[in-house]
Amino acid sequence: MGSRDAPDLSHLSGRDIEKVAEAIGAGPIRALMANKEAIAAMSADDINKLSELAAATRANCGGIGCG
Amino acid sequence: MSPSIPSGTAPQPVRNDAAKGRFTIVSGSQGDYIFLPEVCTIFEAPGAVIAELEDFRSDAFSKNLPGEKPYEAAARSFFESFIEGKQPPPGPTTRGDAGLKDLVLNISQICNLACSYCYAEDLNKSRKIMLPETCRAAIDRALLLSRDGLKSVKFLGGEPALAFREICLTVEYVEEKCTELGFPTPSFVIVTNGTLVTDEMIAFFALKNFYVLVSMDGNQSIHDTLRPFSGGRGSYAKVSDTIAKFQQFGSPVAVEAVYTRTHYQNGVGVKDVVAHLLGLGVREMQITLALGSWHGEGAYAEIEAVSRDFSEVARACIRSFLSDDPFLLRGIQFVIDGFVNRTKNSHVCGAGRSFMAVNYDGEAFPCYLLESAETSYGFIGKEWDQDRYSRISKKFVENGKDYHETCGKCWANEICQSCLGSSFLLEKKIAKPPAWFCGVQKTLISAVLGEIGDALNSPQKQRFLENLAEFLRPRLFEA
Repeated sequence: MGSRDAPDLSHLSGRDIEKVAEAIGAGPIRALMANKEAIAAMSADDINKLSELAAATRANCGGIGCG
Repeated sequence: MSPSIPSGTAPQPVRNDAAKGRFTIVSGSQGDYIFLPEVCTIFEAPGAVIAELEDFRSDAFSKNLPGEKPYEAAARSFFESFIEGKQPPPGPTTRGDAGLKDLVLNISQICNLACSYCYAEDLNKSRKIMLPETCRAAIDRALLLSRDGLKSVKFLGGEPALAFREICLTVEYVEEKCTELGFPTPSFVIVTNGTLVTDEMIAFFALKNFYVLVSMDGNQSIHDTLRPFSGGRGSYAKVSDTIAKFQQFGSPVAVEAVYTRTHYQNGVGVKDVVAHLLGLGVREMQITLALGSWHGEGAYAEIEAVSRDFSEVARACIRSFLSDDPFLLRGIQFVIDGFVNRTKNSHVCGAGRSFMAVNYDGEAFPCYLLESAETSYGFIGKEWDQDRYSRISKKFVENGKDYHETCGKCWANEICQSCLGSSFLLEKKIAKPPAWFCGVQKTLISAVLGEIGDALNSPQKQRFLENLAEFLRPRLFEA
């Protein structure tokens, strides 16, 4: 996991360190770090192929306004 | 404005880069996925990860209002590291200074309808048609303000079919000028109320590859309530005949519907509007939410319900791509395009930068919804004041997402498109759309991405990709 495995916390002190430690120990971050290798991009090659077909930009102004 | 509805935030004086490692959990009907906007990619993850990131779901309006969640900064730090080395091929980035691309001509400021929610009621009191020389001057000015020609010329009003002769002359002039200057011919677009369209017009629109949007707001009862003729008689029968006529001619036609609080109060959902249009054989539609009509007590709860309903329609649209009979909700096309192209939209819309509207008398504005003394560019003819144009345009450039702290923290930053005009109608200031507009839009974007995740996991994935390709390719009117 590179440098994020052992973050350099030397610039932090007191309450800051406590916050970081709390976050790393918390469920969301623990789950992300433990499952990093299992988080996988979906169909990237298929999407890359489609991007070659697509119009670069469309002449409209987005969702709420108008067609 | 009601105090219960927050207004849009003013831009900060300096640009700031968006936060690194932004993410959200999007949900399809079958599964949940992580969306990382900086690489514009959907990721699968073990259930344990999704369960721990429950607070970061974006599948409902209430989850898309501003506010930092527990452990958000730490999770961002994880994803910042995670995406290192995962950069996809770079997509286009829209910029603040790309030149004018889209021109709207309010070619007729006469209308034969008296729609209850009309934003142009005051303008149409002029009861004037744009003179051919004004049309030509507007085209000349727009081409001068462009870098390499225009992407679209859109005829609006009032009812533009009342200015058919002027439309024909303008199209001819655009074609001549673009040939002369070596620019591609832009797309032509018309939004018509559908009550005055003749066979001759349908043939002309087909010949010139017009993108035709006919306004219809749902079933006969709601449509006739909202869109009566000036005398009070409903216009539904005439409009549905016009749609049928386009279909008989084999000429492409889409529908633009405005969804209002009146729909909601009468028990007509967004889903009902779409079902009605599909029943008429319409396969492409723009549903514009008139969010400005929601205010006062109960507004948030109603908007949450409408947002949920709108997202369900967006989900149905993506699911239809798995079938032999897909339909397109145009309001989500920017999500589909943005996801595939990995477009980074620097601004929520083109108003004041790539978009300009001109009224019948030649007065120009950043958009037809952004008309005030403060936003007037002045007149497009010989008296044009380029300094004034640049000054006003700069305000819009400096209202980009990089000038708003909320946008900088938002997972939808790169892909989001929205509308400055709809909030300007509520409060005449150049600002970020209010948080509740963003909440609706983010719920919609999240729904589309979640359904795309499902589709990419589906046994019908190949059919989905084929249909997606069809909607991504520039159509005839965009070529």
